Parts: sequence; C-alpha cells; structure tokens
Amino acid sequence: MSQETILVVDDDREIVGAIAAALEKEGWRVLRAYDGMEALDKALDPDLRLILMDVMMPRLDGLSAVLRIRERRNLPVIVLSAKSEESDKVLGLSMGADDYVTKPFSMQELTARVRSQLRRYTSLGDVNAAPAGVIVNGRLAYDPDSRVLTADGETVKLTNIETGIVDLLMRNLGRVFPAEEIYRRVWGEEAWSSENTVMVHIRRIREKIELNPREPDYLKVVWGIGYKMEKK
Amino acid sequence: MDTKWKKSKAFLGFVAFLLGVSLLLEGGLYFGTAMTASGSRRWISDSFAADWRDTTEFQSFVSRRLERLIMMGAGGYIYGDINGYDGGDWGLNDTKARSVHNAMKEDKNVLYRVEKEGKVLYSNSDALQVNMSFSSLPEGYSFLLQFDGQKVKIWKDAKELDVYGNGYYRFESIDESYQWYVPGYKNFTVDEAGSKVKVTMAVIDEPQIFIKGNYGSSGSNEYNKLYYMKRNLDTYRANIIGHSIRFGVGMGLFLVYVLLRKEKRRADMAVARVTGHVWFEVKVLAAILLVFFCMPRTEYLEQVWQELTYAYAPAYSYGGPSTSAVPGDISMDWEVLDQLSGEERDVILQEYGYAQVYSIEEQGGIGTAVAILSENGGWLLREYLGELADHSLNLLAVFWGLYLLIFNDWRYNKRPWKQGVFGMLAVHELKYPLQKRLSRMNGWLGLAVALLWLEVLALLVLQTVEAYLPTWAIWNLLGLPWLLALSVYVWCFWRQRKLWIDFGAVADQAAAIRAGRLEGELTLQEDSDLAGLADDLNHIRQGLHQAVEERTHSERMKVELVTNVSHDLKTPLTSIISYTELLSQEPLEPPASEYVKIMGEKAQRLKSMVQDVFEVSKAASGQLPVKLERLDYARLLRQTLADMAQSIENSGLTLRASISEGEVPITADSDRMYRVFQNLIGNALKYSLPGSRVYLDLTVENGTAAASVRNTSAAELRPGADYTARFVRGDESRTDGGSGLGLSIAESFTRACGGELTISTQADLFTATVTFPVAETVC
Repeated sequence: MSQETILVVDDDREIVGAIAAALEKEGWRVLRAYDGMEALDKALDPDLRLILMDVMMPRLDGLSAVLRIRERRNLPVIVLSAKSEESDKVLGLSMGADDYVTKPFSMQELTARVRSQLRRYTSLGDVNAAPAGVIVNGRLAYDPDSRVLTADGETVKLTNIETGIVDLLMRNLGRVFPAEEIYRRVWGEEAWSSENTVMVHIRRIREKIELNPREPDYLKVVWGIGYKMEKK
Repeated sequence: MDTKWKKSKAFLGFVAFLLGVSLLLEGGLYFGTAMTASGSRRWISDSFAADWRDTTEFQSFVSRRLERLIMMGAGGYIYGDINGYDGGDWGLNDTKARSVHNAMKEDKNVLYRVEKEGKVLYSNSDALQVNMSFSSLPEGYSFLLQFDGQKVKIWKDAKELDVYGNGYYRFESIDESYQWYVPGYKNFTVDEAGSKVKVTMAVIDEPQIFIKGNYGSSGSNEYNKLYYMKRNLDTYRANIIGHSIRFGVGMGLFLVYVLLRKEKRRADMAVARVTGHVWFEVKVLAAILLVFFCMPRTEYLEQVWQELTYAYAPAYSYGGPSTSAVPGDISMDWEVLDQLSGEERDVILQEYGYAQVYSIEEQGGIGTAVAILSENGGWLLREYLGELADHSLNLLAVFWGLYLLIFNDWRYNKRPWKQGVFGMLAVHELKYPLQKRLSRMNGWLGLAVALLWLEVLALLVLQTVEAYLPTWAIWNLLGLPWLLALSVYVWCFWRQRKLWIDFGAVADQAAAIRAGRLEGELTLQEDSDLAGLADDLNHIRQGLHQAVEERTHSERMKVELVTNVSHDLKTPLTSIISYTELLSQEPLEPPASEYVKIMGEKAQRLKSMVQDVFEVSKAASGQLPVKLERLDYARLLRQTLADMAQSIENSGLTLRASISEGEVPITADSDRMYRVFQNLIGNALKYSLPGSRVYLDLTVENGTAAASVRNTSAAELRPGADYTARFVRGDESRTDGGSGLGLSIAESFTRACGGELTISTQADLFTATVTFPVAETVC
C-alpha cells in the first residue's frame, strides 16, 4: 500500500525541515517544496493526500497555488501563516483552505490537525455522505437520535451532562446560550451560580473535541453573553 | 515698607504743591489787588496803626467834624450831610445848623461845645468848657480838641500833639502821611465869622453804636461812621494778617514741594497715567467748560465794556441843534432802539425821522475798542483781577483743572491727542485693516455725536443770549449737523454690513476647520478687510490638511512596519519553537532535557510577547478592529472568573468578588473585554502579596458601571508611575512574568471599546478600574 504523502510548502527551509521531521516521525511520507511553482509540480504526486501551504512565498504565493492545485485535484489544504488576524483567517478559508494554522504553531497541534484532515479525507470519504438526521458541523457530527458525537469520524466519549450540553448546542448551531439556560435545560433545575459549573463542563468537552483546547474552533465562549457551538 | 514711604512721600509732595500753589496764588492775587488799589497804602498803614486815633481816617473825620462845628457857629451854609449828620430840611442857616445839632447831639461818641462871642450856641455835654484842661475830660474820653478862633490845639492821652508842624499846609497826595486839615496854618486862615467861634470837641475811646429814632420825620437812622471806621480798620488788619499767614504757609508748602519735587514728579506721572486714559476731546471740553463756568463771567466783562463805551461815547443829542426834528415826533427810548438790528432800526428811525443812526453805528467800531482798551487796559485788568480775587476758589478750580487735565497730561503723556476721536481716526498704530476700519468708523461716529452735542450747546447758548437768528441760519444749525451725522451713520452701516457678512463666512470657515472639514477654500472679495484673515485661515487649513494626511500616512506606515516586523519575527520563532519541540521529543540526558524545557518556555513567552506588541501598536494607532455588541458586564466578569478559576486556585490567593446579580448592560467587544479582565486579574494574581486577598467589584452609579480589581502588591509600588505605559511593571527589577504590556493592552482595548481604565495606587494597594457607560436597556 502506498504511503500517505503530505506536501509541505514554505520558503523557509528550516520550517519545512522541522515540519517534515515531525510528520515523518508520525509515519507519513513528506514532499518538500520551497515556493508556489515548485508546489504545483510536487502536487502531481498521485499518493499526495494533504498539502501544508505557507501563504507568503516568492514566485507564486500560497493561496494562488492552492487555487491552481484545486483546479486539478480535490486535496485538503492546511494554510500556514504568520498573519494571525481574523480577517486573514477568513480570507484563507474562503480561498479553499480547509484549515488555518498561524505561526508560530506547536508541532503537536499541527500533527493533530493533519491527522484530523487525513482521517476526514481518507477514512470518511465525502462528508456529505453522512446519514440523514445527523447534524454535521465541520469535523463534528452529531446524531441526535443516538446522542452520539463523532469528531473526525471517531466517537467522542461524553458523560451524561456533557452529552446534554452538546445536544443543546449542536441542535442550535451558532446560537448563544447563557449559562443559566444551559443549566436549566441540561440539569433541569434553576441554579443561582451556574457559571462555574457550566464553564467546567465546557472546558472538559473542549478537551475531548478540540484540536487545541486553548484556542477552540467549535465550542466558544461569547464573553458577557454565553456559550455557543460555532457553525462551520 | 520702603515703597510705602516712597508712595507717601510722593503723595506729600503732590499735596504740598497743590496746597502751596493754591495759597500762594490766592495770596498773590489778594495782595496784588489790595496793594495796587488807590489809597491802599494809606489803608494798610492805618489798619496797622497802634492807635486808631492816629489814622488818617480818624484825623480826616475829626477835621471834617471841626469844620462843620465852626461853620455851625459862624453861620455858614450847611449843605448835604457831613459825617453822616444831615440837617434834614432846607432853610435858614441857623435853622439848618440847629437841626443838625438836634440830629447829632445825642450821639455821645463825639462831645462838642460851640461858642460864639462867649455865648454857648450848641453843646451836647456840660463837661466841656472853653480852655478846659485835659484832666477834666469825662471818663472814657481821652481825645480833646480846642479851637480858639485862630488855632487848634489837640490832646491825646494827656499829651498835646504838634498840629501845625512847620506851619504850612501842603497839598498832599492821599498816600502820604496826613496833615490835620484845620485852620491855623500860615497858608490856611480863618475868616472873620470863624474867628468869633470857639469849639471844644472830645472823642470817645471806644466808639459805640448809636441809633436815632426820628419817627416824627424820616424814621430811625444809623450813622455810626466812627464805630464802623474802627471796625473796618480791625477787619482790614485781620484780613491782611490772615492772608499773610496763608501766604506764608503757602511758601512753606511750596518749599516742601521743592524738596520733594522728584517724588512729586512720580505723583504727577501717576495722575497723568489716569488722565491718559481719558479721551483728549473730553479733557479739552472739560477744560473749556471749567473756564467758561468758573471764571468770572463774560457778563461781567460785558458790563465793564458797556461802562467804558458809555463813559467814552460822545453824548447822544436828543433833538439837539443839528437835528431837524419832524413835527409830531414821539420820544424814543434809546435803550430799546439800541437792541434792534440795524435794518429794523433804520426802518424805525426813518419812520420817526431820527437821523442819529450813524453816530450809534460808529460806537461799536474796532478802532474805538482798541482806543478804549489801550487807554483803560490797566484799569480793566485791575478790575478783572479784583473780580478774580473775590472768586479765588473758582480761580483755583480753573487753575487745577487746567493743570491736571491739560498741563500735567501733556507733559507726561506723549501725544495725548492720540487717545480719543482723533487717535481713532489716525490709525497708524493699528496693524490690521479690520482694526483700522473699526477704529476709524468709531472715530467718525464719535465726531458725529460730538457735532450733535455742539449743536445742542450752541442752541443752549443762543437760548440764553436771546440772539436774533434768521430762519435760514436756524435751519442750517439744525439740519446740517443732523444731515452730517446721518450720512456718517449710513456710511458706517454700509461698511459694517459688509464686515459682518464677511465675518460670518470667516467664522463658518473656522468652525468647519474645527469640525475637521479641511477641503473648502474661503474666498472673500479682495478689498474686504477680512481678506487677510481669510488668507491666514486658508493657510492654516491647508497646513492642517497636510499634517493630518501626513499623520494618517505615518500611522499606516507604522502599523505596516509593526505588522511586517512581527511577521518577520514569527518566521524564525516558528523554527525555534518547532525544533525545540522536536528536540524535546529526543531522548536526552538530564541537564540537556532541562535546557530544552527552558528553551520551550521562553520561546512560548517570546511568542506571546510578539503577539502583544502587535496588538498594542495596532490599538495605539487606532486601527484595532472592534466588534461592538450589547453584553452583560456582570456576566462577563463571572465568566472570566469561571474561566480563570483554575489559575486563581493555583495562585494561593483568595479572590473576593462582589458582582450584582442583575444584568448590567454595556456596549463593548466581547473578546477584547475578556482580554482586558484576563490581564487585570492575571496581573493581580501574579503580583499580589502571597496569601493576600484580591477584590473584584462591580458597581453601577449615575449611569456608569465600574468594575475594579484591587490587590495588595508584593513589591513596593512607586507612587506616580504610569502603569498603563508600555513595558512598565510594578517591580522594575523583575524579569520573569509578563511582557509588561498587560495593562497597556487592557487600557488600549478598553478605550477602543469606549470605556476607560484608570489605575490608582495607595501605599501598596493597587486598583484598576474599568468604567463603561451603562447601555440603554431597550435594544
């Protein structure tokens, strides 16, 4: 069986080297490219499953390269960028990137994100092929009937309370719930000091579903208002 | 104290000058007139005589009385009243003499006895005898005169006086010492009738008032010549002494002034500073009015003039031999005729046939006036000075008015006329056309007003003088000033209207610049007085526009620079972090693995610092994007506390939160505000005294919600340090911990959200307060 191959593109050779070392340690084959044009050549490899692409590069920038590659192949792309602002992130994602990692990143987080993308791409195949009634939100899929949450296709083990919170938030994607309401709905009783309790559980769920629990992508706090499940 | 003394010296000098000169002037005037008046020298010597009976006045009185008594005895013709005693009715000489005797016999101030050929004719005292001795005079009398028909003998105080001197009576001018005007000189003889008369006369030492009640004829009469003579002499002497003393005091004060003249100069200057503020015209007008009202009036001069002209005019000849009177003439009142104008007079004179008009007309010629003045100038001047001396207070008022208003003012104030209407018209000291215009306009308006005032004044004067004016003159007097004033006003109005319209445009432009609208150019007409100002304003606007653009540009450049720098920092940092991580996964010996761990931590810190610097600089340049929404301040704090519960617990500190249960709505950026309180609470946890308590309060007052974090610092706080400045930490020597940007970020974020972060320190108590206006409860 052909080895799963990942293309790492960055004009900084050391960064490419570090990423390659970390990925190869995980058992993946790594192709290296140091600018956009080179990336276009390397992207022809048939075993290629994922591309890690820097944005600012000589000759051809990362986002343009992603667009050109996407014309021929549907490959997941994680964009690496030193630009950390929200607007840069949104731009990158709208240009066809599947994930966005800001520099400097931790290698652990990066490999977690790579694994997540590979699993979704290879094991699950097309995400749209989810069974009816299942709520799909990015990496997450929730079946309200069986009350089972999967992240990248893997079932997440949740306690009863956690399942209750996930159930409420997954059914109402993007809606913000104050702590009292979550408490009332999940615990089924009124509580005066619910903030701490809810927060503790939210944090626990994050550790189970988020790739980087410190900077969550899905389960977010809207400070001064409440909690929500980000709609992807 | 020194300056006080100096001041009082100046004051003293000034007052001494004022009083001294006043007294000198008054005295000078008095003596000047009193000494030059005719007979004044005699009056002075008389009034200072040791005995009033030695005075010329007394001697003359006695001589005249003696002459009368001799005449009464000799049967001479008694005419008029002599020494106050009138014969009353006309008649035979002896009847007349008797009635005179009756009139004056009860007046015991003078005792007399008139004998003729040994027979007593008239006597009012039995004590008197012919050839009596001085010692037999009654009590209170010590002046005795005896006329024996040839010569006169006089005793005063028991001493016989030398009456005749060398025996000749000289014609004497009135100012020379008096000779007794009595017969007995070699060239002053007695006729036959007189030689038969013997008179004895005694005069009282202290004259008394005597009033004769002639109720049968002319009522009560008072002829106290002797009494008033003595009294007048006393008064006159007192007057002279008083004036002399005042004059002397004046001299003394003047001396004081001379000694203090330097100080007095300062007082003068101070006065001049005050008068310098008064308009020149006002001062001149005040001076003129002062002279007009306080000096002896022109009326008086007019009277003098009339007297002169009457005295010297050739007598009018009513129907004299040269005139040919027409039959049926009516007698004409010449004074009435005099007041008529020439034309009217001609008409009347023709009607009544008088042809005297020419002689009258000639009276008023200038030649006559000159002649009269040259002949009588001295007299006129003396008269006027006398008048002045009688009104010395008025004169002083005029003098000081002129001194202060005109003389002193002109001496110390350079070009005093510059302050006033003329100063306004002569605008060369002013710089800008607008100033010149306004000044000039006010000057003209002032002149117009002055013109109207003058008109009113002229009308008042005419009213008092009752002068005849033809109608056209009245119309000119009334109409011309008003027409002039109106045209000045219309001109000013027209010019000022242009001004205020232009001013509106300029003010608009200034307001626009203030509001930040820097594009529009302001154009006024080139001859506008505000054209220069508009031009300046345009330049300011241009400069401001340029400065704003440059600043915006430089801010953008700065942010770009920081963005680039942070990007450039992040790339090598990525490598460092990545390789450190890879290295930490390698099996390493204990010291090496420890080193790698430290490297990893510091690399993480560097990462957060780079991110902080980036955010702070963005916030500082005002380019921090914020997503403002309505949120609950209380919930924000509770959530933050819940989120940080773990680190609070780990810190070993106690956090006491006092947050109201109700909703406290504010408008802010949710994520940024979380960062603010994360930083504030994080700071408190990091820098607090171990084991101490941290307080978090949220209070709402007057529509303002204030959340404060209070903690006791472990390190000593430096009072007055600006903790929100970048890279400032409570303990400067501390190298671990935060980037020093925590409070700076909190401050920038709070401000970007529309709130305010204030730091206050009291001893080691550190308080950070974040205030926000409470949002309206209706969304």
